[in-house]
Amino acid sequence: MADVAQLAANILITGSLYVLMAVGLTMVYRIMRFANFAHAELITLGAYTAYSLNQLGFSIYIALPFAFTASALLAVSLERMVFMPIRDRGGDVISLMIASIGAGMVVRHLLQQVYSARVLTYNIPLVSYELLGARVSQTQLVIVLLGILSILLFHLLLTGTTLGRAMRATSDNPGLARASGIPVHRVMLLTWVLGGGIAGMAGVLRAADTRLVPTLGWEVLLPVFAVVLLGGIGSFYGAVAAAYLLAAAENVGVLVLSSLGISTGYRYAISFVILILVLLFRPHGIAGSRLGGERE
Amino acid sequence: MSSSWVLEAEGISSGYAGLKVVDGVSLRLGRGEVLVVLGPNGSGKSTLLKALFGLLPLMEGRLRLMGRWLEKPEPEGMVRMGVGYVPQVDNVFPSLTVRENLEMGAFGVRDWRRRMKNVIELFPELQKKLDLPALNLSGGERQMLALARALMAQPEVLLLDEPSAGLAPGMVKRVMGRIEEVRKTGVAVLLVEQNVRSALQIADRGFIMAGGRKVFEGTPEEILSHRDMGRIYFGMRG
Repeated sequence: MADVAQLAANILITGSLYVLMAVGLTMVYRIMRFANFAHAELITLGAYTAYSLNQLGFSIYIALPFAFTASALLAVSLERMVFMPIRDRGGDVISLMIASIGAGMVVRHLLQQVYSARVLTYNIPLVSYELLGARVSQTQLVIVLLGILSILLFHLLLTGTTLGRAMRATSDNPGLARASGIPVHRVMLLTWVLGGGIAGMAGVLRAADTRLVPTLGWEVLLPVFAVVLLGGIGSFYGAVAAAYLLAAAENVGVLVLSSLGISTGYRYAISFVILILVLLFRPHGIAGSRLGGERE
Repeated sequence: MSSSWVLEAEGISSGYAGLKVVDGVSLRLGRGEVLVVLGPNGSGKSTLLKALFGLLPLMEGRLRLMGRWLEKPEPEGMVRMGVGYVPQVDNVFPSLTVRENLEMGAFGVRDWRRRMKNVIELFPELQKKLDLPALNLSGGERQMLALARALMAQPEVLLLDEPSAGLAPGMVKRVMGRIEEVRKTGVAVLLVEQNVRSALQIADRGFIMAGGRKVFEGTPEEILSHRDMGRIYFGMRG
């Protein structure tokens, strides 16, 4: 019974972290229509921002809003200095995608220059709790709470506010949104701020739960892309469902692999087998439509 | 000098990637007037509408809106100045409900719900569908919603790009009827249409375009009796 509780807790923790990492990527895709590979570095920058503050004696939880701000600023800078000029010059999604890989590499190597490639850890108290038979650390508890909070807040934003509805309208049809008088550029900017900022916070929590290296975001980018694809590219609700589904597949898979005496290093392979199967039978993902979004 | 025209264009030329599709077209549109733009496929009608709304750059000519000359029209500014535009296709937000679509038509307006009530009076068929995604509407209902969404901004001028395209004859009649009612509220309508007879039934004036140029202008009767109509529609200059 305790094993089941621990498995459920692990699924919740992994899934919540995937939600936090994937929500920004799927939002940006939904509005900007390209896969932003530099999302990995938005995750990593947030983690290093918190590390700097942590070294100055601040708690990583106090550092979370600063990590949000730093990654949001990087996201907006990339949009203004790289992606927007490419779009204005008629660049297509492939150009944007390749530019995002390049921009991500530049940021990653800059971070490596500043912080070195050493494995770093935060100075955090090792507190853990026994909850319903499962042992979870304080960081893991924050991951789950923040994951659930972000789902609720995004749901409220997208359906309960004019701005959220404008975001959905812009993702449906940017040209018509412009013709309707919706300030499309402001909506796009907000998307970068929210998407980048949440990725930064996710980076802090990921680093706190594991360790901090310049490839922190890059290492998780593939499963995060898997979540976005599985959910239906551009679908927020699909990404949420896919995050927990993939987390369940990974955690159950790890147990199966262990019982068979196979290395648990293959955990991502399980996710990708599921991803390939889903895409074969439902190419638009769980909640995606041919519109590239979902029907809220 | 004041002008009774709400929209005036002088020698407008526009197109794509340096290629001129509309060549030196002038027009004037008065309050509560329906001016119809006719012409065969590829004659530049839709391009003209996009240029007037600022979706395409003006290569030549100038534009006057409500007596104000505009240096460089752009869509956001045109909406603020009272111009509504309804494209031929993709003219609703499919994942948004009918209500949300209407709200987006009056983005940033506090009393959009009051406006919605007024617009729904003009389009009562939308009342029962307010909470349905626009994706679930029929072609005719989508056209009604597109018109209603544009009216939410309370425009002085409506630019409509082939609102009857792809609709059954009965629905064409209903859509044209609604445009007629919109006009009665004082809104000036510039209507691009392929459906010549239906469009001319509600038009005050019209002109025919061919090869990007205006080739004939007149009243509906004059257009219908124009001897070169057939030749123009088969792609030959009149």
